[in-house]
Amino acid sequence: MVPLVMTRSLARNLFHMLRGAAEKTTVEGLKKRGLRTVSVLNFRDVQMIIVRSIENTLQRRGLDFDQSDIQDEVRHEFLSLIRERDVLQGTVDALLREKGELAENRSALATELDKATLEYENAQSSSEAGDSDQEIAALMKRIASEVIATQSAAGVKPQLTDTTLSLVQAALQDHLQTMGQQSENGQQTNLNQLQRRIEKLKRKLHETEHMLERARANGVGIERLSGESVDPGVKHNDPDFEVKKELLGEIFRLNVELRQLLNKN
Amino acid sequence: MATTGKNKDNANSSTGASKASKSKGSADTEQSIVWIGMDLGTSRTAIACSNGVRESFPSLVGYPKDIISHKMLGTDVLYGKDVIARRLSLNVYRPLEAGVIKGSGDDKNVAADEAEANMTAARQLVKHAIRSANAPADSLVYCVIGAPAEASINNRHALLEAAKEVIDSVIICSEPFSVAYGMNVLTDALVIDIGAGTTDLCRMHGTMPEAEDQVTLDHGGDILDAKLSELLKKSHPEVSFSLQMIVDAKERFSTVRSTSDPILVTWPVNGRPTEIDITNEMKEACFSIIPPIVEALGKLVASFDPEFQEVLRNNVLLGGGGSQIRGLAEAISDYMDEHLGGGQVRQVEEPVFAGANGALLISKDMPPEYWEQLS
Ligand SMILES: Nc1ncnc2c1ncn2[C@@H]1O[C@H](COP(=O)(O)OP(=O)(O)OP(=O)(O)O)[C@@H](O)[C@H]1O
Ligand SMILES: [Mg+2]
Repeated sequence: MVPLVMTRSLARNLFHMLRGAAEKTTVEGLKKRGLRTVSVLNFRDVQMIIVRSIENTLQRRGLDFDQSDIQDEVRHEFLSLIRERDVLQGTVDALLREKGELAENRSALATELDKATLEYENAQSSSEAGDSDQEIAALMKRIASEVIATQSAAGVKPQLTDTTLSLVQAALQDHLQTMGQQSENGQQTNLNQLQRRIEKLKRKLHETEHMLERARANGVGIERLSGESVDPGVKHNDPDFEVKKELLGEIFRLNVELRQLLNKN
Repeated sequence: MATTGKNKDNANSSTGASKASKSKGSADTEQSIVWIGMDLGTSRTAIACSNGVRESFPSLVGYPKDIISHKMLGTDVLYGKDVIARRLSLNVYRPLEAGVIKGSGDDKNVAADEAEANMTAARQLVKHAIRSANAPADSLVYCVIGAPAEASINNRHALLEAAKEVIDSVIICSEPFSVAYGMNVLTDALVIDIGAGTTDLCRMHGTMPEAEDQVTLDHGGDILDAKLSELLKKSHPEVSFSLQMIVDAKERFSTVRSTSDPILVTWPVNGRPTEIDITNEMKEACFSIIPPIVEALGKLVASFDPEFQEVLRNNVLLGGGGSQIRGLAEAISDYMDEHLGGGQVRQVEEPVFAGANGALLISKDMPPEYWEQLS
């Protein structure tokens, strides 16, 4: 048996060449350019052209092959390439799914960022408010009056009472200061943490947005490749335009009748 | 204070962006349409879709026989090739018979519950086919389904019912017509579709084919299998084989060519794999479908306008899975020469997808307003 006329790699190259040569565009883009109909490359026609050219060349060279064998081989090759394209379709679907997940992820991140920011704001305003000095003054006043009352009742010298009071005041101030410091430290840590989280969320959001942007940009090409742009209806330049319109109308009428019959029953 | 303000701005801009992207997202998935051509055959279902998907699988639905099988298979239902592989643990349905849903006609031989079970299986088969088209969830699915030209109203109703759940708009069309339409042959042509259960012949003359334009023969792939099996039982009584082995051998080696390499299979004889030559039996069985086909062709030609009979005879299209027999188109042409005084037969480019391809073309050519009215 003579080796295969069209090797697998040749067929594959041809397929890639055709695919690479195809212009990638969107339906919107075509519309903008004022195009209403497009010619779609039909692989069956391409296949036939290839079969013919192989057959003709072989015949011209006086090589007599079994025509149907060649046809079978070429058809087989084409079908397997088409199957390959189906695998590609699978990849495309996976990419599209990923795109959906990215979009979902993005909006989840945005929500979380909003929440974190709100929390940060609340925390900050509560730390600013703090315990008021008036409250501390009132507390001091209450303690002083109680100390004076008890000490004078016990006959303590006013001088001593003054010393006691200033000691108490100093102790209280000291205590308040450590307490304040502690809570301020806590607040600050909390705020710092929130701020870091916000930064991180923002970074992630940015990355996701970037990936999504890229997926969208790729998507145009991928979607164009996986299908064909369809302009429904028989094309006006179809040589059988009238006959086809007539036939399609008949199919439609038969289907309407079928439904009417069924609705009656 | 300044930081708070800045953060607020950022928070706003991020929500703003998420809203903007939402509206962009919906433009992305702007309601699109996926057109599908479906050939719902007795033995194989094929779909061709406007998004580029092409699938073909055996028209089989299987349900686990019992709890154990159910556990083992881990599913309620299997389709296509998986059914053949797991057939021993399944209740198997081949819900289509002569291209229509079993029991959907006026056939009194099919019990009501069996008809019901076939209807369910058919519905699931259609769903499975549509699922394999991978249409985006929010797109509209418009589908042309090829049905045997002679399918009754009840049969067609059953098809519509089966399709309703998963298809937004469905059109039923004569199967041989869609094969011809796909080949851009609309007038003065004869289409032969060799399927499993039947061979359908249809005359095209520029309008929708009617009853007198169609002939359905019981001679299809199934009959060929039976014939081959019968011949082999006679010539090789010592060999054991199953129907599936016959079908496998046929699909690999079928031919009507007088010159070909010997056809050898390795089948058991007394439990030992043995090489057997089945060349003659294969050729005889394959050839057996030709005379009835040519006879029917003759009738369709003879009842046509005499002026165009010659054109018709020379424009015969051969399709269907059974047309993949090597050399069949030439053999039918030769037989027509002998018995009808001439004939030209050519094989469609993709026997298995010819019906689905044609149905897809019809669905895309159909004006959108028709689709809307039928949805
Ligand atoms: N290479 C082959 N040679 C001969 N027969 C084949 C070959 N491949 C498949 N077949 C046969 O073709 C038949 C199936 O053809 P097809 O898929 O067109 O049937 P179908 O459309 O499901 O049936 P129907 O049209 O009767 O509903 C089967 O009998 C199968 O064994
Ligand atoms: Mg069929």
